[in-house]
Amino acid sequence: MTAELAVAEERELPRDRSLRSWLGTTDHKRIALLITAVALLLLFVAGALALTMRLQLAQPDQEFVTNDGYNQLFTIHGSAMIYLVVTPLALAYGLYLVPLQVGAPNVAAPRTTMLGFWLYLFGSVAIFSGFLTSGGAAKEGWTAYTPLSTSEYSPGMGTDLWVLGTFVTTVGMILVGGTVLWTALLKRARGMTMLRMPVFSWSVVATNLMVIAAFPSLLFALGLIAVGRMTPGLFDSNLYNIGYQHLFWFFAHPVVYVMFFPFVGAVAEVLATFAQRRFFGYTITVLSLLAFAGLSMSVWGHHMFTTGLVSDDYYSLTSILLIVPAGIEYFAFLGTIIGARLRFQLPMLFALAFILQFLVGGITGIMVASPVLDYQMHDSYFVVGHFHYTLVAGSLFGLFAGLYFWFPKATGVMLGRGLGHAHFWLMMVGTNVTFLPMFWLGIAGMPRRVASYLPTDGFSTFNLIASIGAGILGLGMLAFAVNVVRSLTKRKERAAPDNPWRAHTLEWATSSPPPPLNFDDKHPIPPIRSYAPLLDLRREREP
Amino acid sequence: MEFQRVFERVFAFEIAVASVVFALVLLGVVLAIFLSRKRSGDTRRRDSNKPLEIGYAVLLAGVAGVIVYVTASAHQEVQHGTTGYSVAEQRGATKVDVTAFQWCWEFQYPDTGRSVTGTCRDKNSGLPTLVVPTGQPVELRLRSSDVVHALWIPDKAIKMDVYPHHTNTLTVEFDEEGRWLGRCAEFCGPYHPSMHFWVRAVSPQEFQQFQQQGTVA
Amino acid sequence: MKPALVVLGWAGWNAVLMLVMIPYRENALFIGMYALAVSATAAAAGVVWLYRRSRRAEGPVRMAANSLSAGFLAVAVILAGSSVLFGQWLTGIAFYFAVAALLHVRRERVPAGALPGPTAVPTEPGVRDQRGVLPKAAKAAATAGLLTRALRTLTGRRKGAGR
Repeated sequence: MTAELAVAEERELPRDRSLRSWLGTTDHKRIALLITAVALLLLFVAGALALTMRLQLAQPDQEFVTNDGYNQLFTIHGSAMIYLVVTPLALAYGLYLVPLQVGAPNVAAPRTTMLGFWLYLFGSVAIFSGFLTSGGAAKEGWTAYTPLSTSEYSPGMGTDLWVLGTFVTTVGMILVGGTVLWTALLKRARGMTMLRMPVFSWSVVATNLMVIAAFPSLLFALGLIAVGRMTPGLFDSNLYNIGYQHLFWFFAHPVVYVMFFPFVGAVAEVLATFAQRRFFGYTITVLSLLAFAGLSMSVWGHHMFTTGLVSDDYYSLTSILLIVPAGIEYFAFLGTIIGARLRFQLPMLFALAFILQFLVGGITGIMVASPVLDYQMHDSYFVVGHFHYTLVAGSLFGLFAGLYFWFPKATGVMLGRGLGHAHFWLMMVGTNVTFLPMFWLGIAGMPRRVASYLPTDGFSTFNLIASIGAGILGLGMLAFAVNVVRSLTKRKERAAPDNPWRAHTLEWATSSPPPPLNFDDKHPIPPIRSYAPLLDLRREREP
Repeated sequence: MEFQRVFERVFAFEIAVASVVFALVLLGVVLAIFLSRKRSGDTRRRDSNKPLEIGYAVLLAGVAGVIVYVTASAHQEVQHGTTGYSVAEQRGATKVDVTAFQWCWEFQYPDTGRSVTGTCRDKNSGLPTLVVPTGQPVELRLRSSDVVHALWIPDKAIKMDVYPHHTNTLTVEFDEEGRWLGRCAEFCGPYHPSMHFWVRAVSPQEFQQFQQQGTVA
Repeated sequence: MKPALVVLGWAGWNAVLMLVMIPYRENALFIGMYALAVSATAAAAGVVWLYRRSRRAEGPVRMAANSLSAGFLAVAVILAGSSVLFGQWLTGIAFYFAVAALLHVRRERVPAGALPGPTAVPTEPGVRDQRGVLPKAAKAAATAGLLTRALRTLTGRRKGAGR
């Protein structure tokens, strides 16, 4: 991991590449790369857990893994993907790019950010080390509902380590998100007004507002579990059970948007770049991002419709209102690309797939936001299909759009095209083949979190299709891993220019990879007159 | 069965809306790809169109309003009335105390003191059967003796969580005779996947017989 | 647009959404939970506003040259957390790491003469100063008109910021 990152460093300048300099770094780019490296590694681990689950579910009534083992698999798969992979990646993208995009030399308070990385790393180790304990890892789902997660029903070190690891990681994420927010708000270069920040930076501002407002709630929820594991009588009052769910979902709904917003921003940048024009509807997009983030704070109860203990109609109202900001974003996306001369390079392919695939996740989200439909679909495979469409078909595609886009900037190396196309097509086919059948499974009555099903249930065909799709998806990810390693070993042939895509924002004005303090005498900050300063410059020079 | 009818109606409505939305966006993407093949360069310099954007936002709010109205009024139907998730103490309702536990169900009929339970073993063996009369309201009083479970009858689109130290009550009515599988929907531990039960709706006469003798013909 | 106003406006939008819960008769406890998050965000807006007012934002950029203290502190935190699971003796080791962090912090200051050069290259001399925009709006922030004001600010400033 470290070796891989070390080669990501500058070619010419005598830069300190020692391990010690990485561990004691105060450079926001290096911290972001550390988080990204750990998170990508864990993406493959969590993906392997998912493949094991799909293997178990490929046929009815299999005993490839035990019920207990299966429960550990889905718990750690979900926890890792949400707490340790997509959230950290989303925040790391912001950490890498926001200081560059707003023309700041570094993130505000880099040591605090670095503390966030360490806490994230140690938290990840704690969660995964559950597998080494005699009772196995945590097994009550990433939601860890009480009283199932108390010591009475889930004794064992695995859950203890899960609580500790999740708590520590979440503290780390708050620190990372908070410092990046501070940078965007208060460390912008002169001339970089709030309304000249690129859409991506705005999406990170909205994301980090949710981080500081919603993440502390998870700390309280985990604290409640911790107290409950020491004093099991706590949950004899049902108020604590329902209270836990409120605290948990007050965090866990916004976190879904935290895992999504920066990738909306990434897709916006990619679309504008490869459409070779200015992003369409900037102001209304920025407003809708902020409104979107605000609404996402108020919808948490839609995860609790079937409890019979919340005001369903309120949460249904706010959830359905999400149509407005989401629709505006789609409008801006389409307004940017329709009529433009598109270049279909790899980031653009992922971005276009994101538009259509995330839409499936979005519209099924409106369905489960309707209580009458949710009473049937809640905790079924319909919901599993829905959130994998938002997080894999949506967020991960946005993540890869951004990764192919910014990889040359961060490493100075272009990713290979052939393997990149293999990655895209395999992943696109695999994602849809895996997750589309889940909608039918849910309607047919398959509950989520079941280790097996019976031949008489009628779930066999769709499960087999989903498992085949998961295999294809896995192959796609393999192509990606090979591509990264191969590209990094061919640094000379694949050296990236400063602005390989003719993109519009400030990070492309500096070198690839950028100098330690982002801009220097050789790479000064160009004049900033809008949210697309490099496009302005180009239009001035070549009218 | 009211729950299922409402579900099917609203689901059809939302599928229709979703299909239109998906078709429009797909059209937009296809159009963008098609138009970008044209020879002439991109001449547009306009990057915002305020009246269009605001008009579109208003349109979206209208669409959202319609969906909110449809789902909220449908929600009233499954919450209140003679049957529903918030209905209790209906006249002539057969009361059943449903107890969920790790990992099976117990159905007690307080009127006769009869009780049915099972073992919920692998492969649907030892499942308890919830016997209910057709054409009459049945009040299910859900309670757990350990962790959170959820009662789900997929074929009837009924689901409600089952809590310890709290009773959730709902009133249902079965309008046809038959037998359906019920499931636990809320993850509750190692044997969650086999925590099923049968729901059997019989004629009121047969139900009387069941109440007296404890068996159904 | 003032950064503090963005945060405050966002908190205000959440406050509106929170108030809508009341006619829907959500449990007061959980409206309170939302209110707590809203006030935390509003407090964050206050911190941003105070920081801008103190003019510290304009000083020279001071940066730590090393961050190992953060690593030591994180080890201390995770050890202290583990001590709940594996025994109190771990707090002892955690204590040493906390001390190491404290000692190391002092060495992380940028050595004299090694200060980073000016990096924020002045870009556009004629740019309008962000300071002093909408001072009254900030004062009237708690009022219900805040959101519309923020909206107007956004659209108004756009003309100056446009291409």
